[in-house]
Formats: sequence, structure tokens, C-alpha cells
Amino acid sequence: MMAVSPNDMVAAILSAAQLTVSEREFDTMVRDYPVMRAAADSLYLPELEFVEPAVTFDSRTAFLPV
Amino acid sequence: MTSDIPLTIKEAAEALRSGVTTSVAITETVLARVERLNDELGAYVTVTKDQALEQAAAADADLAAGKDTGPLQGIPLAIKDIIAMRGAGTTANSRILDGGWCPDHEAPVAARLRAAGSVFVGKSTTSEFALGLPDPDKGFLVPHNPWNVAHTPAGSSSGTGIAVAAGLALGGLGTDTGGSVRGPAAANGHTGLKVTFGRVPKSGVVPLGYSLDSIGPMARSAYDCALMLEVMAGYDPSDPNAADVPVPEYSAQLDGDVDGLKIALPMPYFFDHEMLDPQVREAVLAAVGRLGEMGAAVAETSLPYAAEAKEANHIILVAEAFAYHRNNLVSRWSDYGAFTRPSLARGAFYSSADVMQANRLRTAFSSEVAALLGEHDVIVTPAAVTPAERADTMDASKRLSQPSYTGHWNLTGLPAVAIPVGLSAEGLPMSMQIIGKPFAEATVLKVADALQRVTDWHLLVPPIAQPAAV
Repeated sequence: MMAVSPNDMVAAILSAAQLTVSEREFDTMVRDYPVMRAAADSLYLPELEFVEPAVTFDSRTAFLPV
Repeated sequence: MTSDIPLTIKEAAEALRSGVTTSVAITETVLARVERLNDELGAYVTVTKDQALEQAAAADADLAAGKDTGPLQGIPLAIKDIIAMRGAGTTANSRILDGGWCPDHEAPVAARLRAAGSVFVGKSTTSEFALGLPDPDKGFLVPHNPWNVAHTPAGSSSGTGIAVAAGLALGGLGTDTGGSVRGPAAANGHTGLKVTFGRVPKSGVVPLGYSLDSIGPMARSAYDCALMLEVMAGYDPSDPNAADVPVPEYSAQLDGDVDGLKIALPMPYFFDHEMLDPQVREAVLAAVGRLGEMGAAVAETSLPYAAEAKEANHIILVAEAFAYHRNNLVSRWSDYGAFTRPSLARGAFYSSADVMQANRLRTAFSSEVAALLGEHDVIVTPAAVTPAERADTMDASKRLSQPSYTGHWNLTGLPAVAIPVGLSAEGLPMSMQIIGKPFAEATVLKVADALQRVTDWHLLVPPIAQPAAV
């Protein structure tokens, strides 16, 4: 599988998000993206396989009196 | 003499009740300082002079008539300009809110301070939308550190941080999503408390990170923060995250006694990182040593997932913030500051799975912290990696690779206070952070107060703000 360059990845993400940035901003994002990606990847630790995410939804909340 | 008015809320409250001074006199002095220094320091976006003097006069009249509403009566405070306050629009330091957000609405936390008789000096400068760095091209004053104006006052509660340090208020409100109360408290040399998530209602505040945001008091001392928190804290139905937990009399628990208190020092990442300034490390460990001399039991330990928790906080923060700002970023990109907009846009760069995984890490890290606090009363770390940086070297990209010691406690929702522990060789404040169990603000403030009873770093006034200078 062909790896996607940071340049192409950032362009695709910005397009999907409908964000229009300057050339300088784009270059900064391309430089930052590998750092951000590595940080996110560092969280996929094997020992977290059975850990529940800290997001909860209580169906009763909407029915509570204000 | 380093001040012509009381330095602390506690002293001011005593002075008002003993007849030494009046709220109008204190407020007029504060307003005069604001007039002289605000253009240079950039503490306030909006100064509510008329309202402040009216509130001060009312406080004096009430006290004279025997109506005592508590120690915040007649005390000048700064309100961070993402918090709705009646009588002044809220700008969030942004052209996006250039019409002034909710001018006739008041956040519950501000309403509580008003009801307690406080005086509102004005809306204090914030990093735009509580994120990013100042953009001098957007028409707002750029905030400067009163200890050295070439250095940043840190953010995002920059203005309140400056105001407290320079005597442009005796206390104030900040908000904290990843360190925005503690960072400015650290950079400006005073006390700032990030409360337990849900301790203080955050309705009426422009959100940054829904699951991370908190409103906290900033003042010279831990005791002053305790006085403020007694008024600020408590349930309000307008905030779905507000906790219905009793509010203790925090100030009454600050007795200076830390004998037997167990302090955990997680050394890996928090104390041994290569980017931690050696002066900061030494100052924090020296302060912990003082607590040890006072009877606290100090133990070096470790905390798993510290580096990952910093990343998880960032991912969750930008994801939540991007969701809020996305439509405006699409249609009004250039109206955002040059540093704010790419920071917000980072939320688009993480996948939904990344955000979910960050929340799994959140659970795992919280469990590790709970285990550590099961054996200790508090955790101590540096509040900031270095003293305040030079403003002209600040770079949002650098932060991606730097350690940070504050976001962990937003991630876990725990109370954390930053207090000064000395000045660096360059004359800039250094700061220590004390973290406690959920709703244990009394404990973290007690430790902070105990140290402040035997040190005076929190009472230092930057030269620019001393009476001879103004």
C-alpha cells in the first residue's frame, strides 16, 4: 500500500473540513502533522484493549427539570 | 513598602471592616493603576470604571449600615473576557464575537461574586477563545508579563494573571482547560486554582473543551483563592456538568498544619525531563523540602502514562474546540487570530477513533492517578516547565513536542493549585503545582497555604507596579 505524504494528507483533511488556509499555514501544518500523528498513534497501547473510554451518556439527563 | 493598598483580599477585607480604608479608595487606586499601566501590560479588554465605582460605593454603604456580605465585599476583581458579565460585552479577544457576546447576561459564577459585593474592574484579556497566542494585528492589546514586559504572561487567563501580579485587581476569574489558570499564575508569580471538574458552574462561559473546562480563582494567596471559591462553588442547574456536592468553608480549613500529610513526587516526566528548567526543578524540590521540614512525608514515585496523558488532553481539547468553531473557521478563517486558527484546526487532524482512544487513555491514566492518591494525599509537580518565555520566541508548533504538566489534571478532572516558589536568576517567577483528590480543594489549598505562611514569594510585586514606579 502506498504511503500518503503529509502534504497530501493535510490537503485532504483541510478539503474535507472545508478549511481554506494560506500557503504558509499549509506548510506549517504539513510540518506539524507527523508530530501530531505520532502523538495520536502513541495512545494505541495494547494494554488498553479492555479499557472503557471516558465518555458516558445518561438517557435521563434530557428529562431532568431545568 | 511594596503596595499603597492591601496586597491580599484577606488584608483588604480586614482593612475595610476596621475603617482603615474604603472600597471606593481601594477601587480608585486600582483604577488609577489600570489607567497608567494597561496600555503597556494589556491586562484588560474592557474597563468597567463606572460600574466598579458604583459597586464600591454600594459596598461601603452596606458595610456602614451593618450589612456584611462576606470577605469579598468591596474587593476589586478581574473577570476573564470569556465569562459573561452584565454591563460589559464579552469579546473572547476575538473579532468573531465583535458584537459583544451576551451583554445582558451574567454567568452564575459572576452573579455569585456580584451578590457577594465584589467590585468588577473589568473584562480581562484572554488568549483568543482561551487558546492560541496573541495576534497584534487583530486590534486587541497584547498582554505582557509585568515582571519583564518582553516575556509572555502565559495564557489563556493572561489578563487576570497580569492584574493580580500588578495590583490591577486583588483577585479575579480565570478558566482552565489545559493549564490556563495555572500557567498565568505561574508566569506572573501568584496563586491560581484549577478546581475539580463541576465544582464551579461553567455556564455563561464561551466553551473551549466541554469535558475539560473549569473556572477558577486567581489571587495572590491560597487563602484568598479559598475565600473566592467559597462564593464561586456550588451546584447550578444551568450547567449539566455542575456537581451537587456541598461547599465547605475552605478558608477555615487552612490551619498551616501539614504534619503527616503524604506528598507524592512522580519523578519520571515531571521532574527528570530534559526540557525542565533546572532552576524550576531545584526551586520546586526546595519548596517540597520546606513542607517536609513542617512534617509532611515526601515520597518519590512514578506515574504511568504521563507523556501519553499530555497528548490525550490535547487531542480531546482540540476535538471539542473544533466542533464548536468549525462553522466559523470555514466562513471566517481570517477573522480568527493567526495563531488561534491553526490551533483550532488541529481538531480536524485527529480521527474520531483518535478521540475515542484518547478517552480510553483518560480512563487508564485516571486509574493510575487514583491509585497513587490512594496512598498519598497530594501529588506535587512543577506548574510550568520553564519560567515565562520571551514573547518573541513563542511558537505554537514547539508546544507539540514539549512536555506540559497541567493538562493531566484537566484530563482527570482533579483540583490543582499553582503557587510561586521563587524567582529565577533572570527575575522571573517559578511555580509549583499541588494536585489533590476529587473535590479536595481544601487539601490542596491547605498545603499551598502552609507553604505561604513560611515564605513570601506570593507577596512579591513586580517593579513596574510598585508605588514608586507608578
